[in-house]
Amino acid sequence: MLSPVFNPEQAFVVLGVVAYLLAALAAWAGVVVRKPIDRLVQLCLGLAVTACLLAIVIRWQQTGNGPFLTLYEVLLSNLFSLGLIFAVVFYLVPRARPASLLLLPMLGLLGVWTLDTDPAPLELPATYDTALLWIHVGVGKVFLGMNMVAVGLAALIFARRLKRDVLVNSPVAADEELDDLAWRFMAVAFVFHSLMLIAGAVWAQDAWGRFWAWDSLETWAFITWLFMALSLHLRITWRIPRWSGSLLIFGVFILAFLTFFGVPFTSVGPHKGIL
Amino acid sequence: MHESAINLLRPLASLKLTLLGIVALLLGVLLAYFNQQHSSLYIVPPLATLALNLLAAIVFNPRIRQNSGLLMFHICLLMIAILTVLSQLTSMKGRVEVTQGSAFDASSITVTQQGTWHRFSRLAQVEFVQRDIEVDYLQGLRRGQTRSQVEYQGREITVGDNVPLKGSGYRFYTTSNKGYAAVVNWYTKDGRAERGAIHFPSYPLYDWKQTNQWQAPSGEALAFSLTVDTALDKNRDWMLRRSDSAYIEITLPDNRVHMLRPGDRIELKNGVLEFEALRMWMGYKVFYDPFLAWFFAVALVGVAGIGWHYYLKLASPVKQRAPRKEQTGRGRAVTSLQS
Repeated sequence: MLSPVFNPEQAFVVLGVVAYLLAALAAWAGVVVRKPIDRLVQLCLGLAVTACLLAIVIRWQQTGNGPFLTLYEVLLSNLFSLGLIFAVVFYLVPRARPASLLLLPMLGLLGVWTLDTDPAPLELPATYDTALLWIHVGVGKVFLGMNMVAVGLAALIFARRLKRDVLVNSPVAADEELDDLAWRFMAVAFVFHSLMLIAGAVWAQDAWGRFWAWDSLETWAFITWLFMALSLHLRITWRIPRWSGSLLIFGVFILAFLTFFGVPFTSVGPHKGIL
Repeated sequence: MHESAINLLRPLASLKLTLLGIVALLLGVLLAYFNQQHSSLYIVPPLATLALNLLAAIVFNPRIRQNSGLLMFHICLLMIAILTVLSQLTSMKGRVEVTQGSAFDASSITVTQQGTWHRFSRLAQVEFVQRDIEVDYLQGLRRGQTRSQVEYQGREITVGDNVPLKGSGYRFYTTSNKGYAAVVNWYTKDGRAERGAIHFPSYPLYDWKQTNQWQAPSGEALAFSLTVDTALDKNRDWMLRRSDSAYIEITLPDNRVHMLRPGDRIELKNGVLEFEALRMWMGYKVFYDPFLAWFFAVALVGVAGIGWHYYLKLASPVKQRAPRKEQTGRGRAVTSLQS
């Protein structure tokens, strides 16, 4: 909920969300005019990431805690990290830029969700006071970012499957190339997801005296990992059609999205402080 | 004979079996999540299938054998499966409550899980004495840092959040379960003395129910009720610590109630009960798994292996297709990247 009093943190979040939506508009404008407007997309993306970073910094100064606990904080930190990862990919891997057609509107929507979430802070439980949290969350964000870029590329393949003439005249690479690129991002995502599970297990061992306890979050994270392993194996074993590969990438992302933004806030577990 | 054994094992390396195993494990994990009591039943069969499949694939699959990173990753996955079995056989989990000022007593552990091969002999070697306990609470009774002082091998060390006490391979983790304990002495008519502690329910979770029952060595069933001034205020930051401002009420079998402050005594049928002092107790989770470090090392090496494998693959150029010219309905040529 937006506060009626001027709040610099929320102002930066609003700026970030507007910048993401403008970036999305610029990406789609490139399709309409059949000429990419990459500079403008990059500028808006950079502005959005910077605004989200500033919002996090201001919040951190006020609460004394990093953005790790509440749904608002997790959304805000992902708005920053996913935007940053995509900005880096946009700059370094020009062939992945068409993913912006889906990802930038998606980040804009994530931003709107952030603005609609209660920003009230909570104190971090004592078990969160560890470097392992940073490693766990950091590699987790890289995983989600890589998976998200793969989704952006897979969506283009799937869109063409649904409507053959879509994006025909746009500067988007061939399906074969998009598919190859998408699975490369999935491979990186798999490595980082594995690291996330390891760091999480080490943290859980230190914090709660067990590395595995069928806790909702860890179980769904493991299910995501298994589904990703299954997807990678399916692609090797049966050389599945590209559109089915796209569906698998979507499946991984849906599981990951629910694990990141759903499970921790709907389950009662040790990830929250108790008496 | 050798040839026939190979022919028998080769199908186990099938990638289709891998897929089947992963799907079965996925279902097993889901079932175990919803029914944790029978988790082994759902997890062990697919895990065993995958372990056999992995072993066969490592031996027979040339693609795995020729890629060092991939080989490393699959060997590590197999090792994790083996370590999981070994861990189940040797590990131990339990809980114990230790009173402030008292030594840890291995025989007082409540075992919640014990592997068939686990031997308790090493646990008896763990000796520590519980010292001060402090737990920070923030406004709204949100638990902050836990500091549990223990005397271990002649040193005072602080254990708590993210920092367990480690000894003889066992790990002792502080928990949210902690509270007050009445240290009592029992003197028999013939002059013998026994010392013990009555643990009251976890504080502040059960601040409204600080009661417990105890049977005196003489056989009398006594009900204890603790009133302690902790200055607990849910609207302010607060620290749980030892308090001397307390008294206990003892209800005798005939319903007579006696109030005792630290140092007070009460004469019962066959002896005298003394309320020596109010102390605290800490509930520890006890954990033993000799393969914990191995799990970590093998998992890291495995990720390094798959990381290396993908690095080599990712270093190769992306498959690219040259755009082709095609005629549109209006008769003009446009560039199409449709595959």
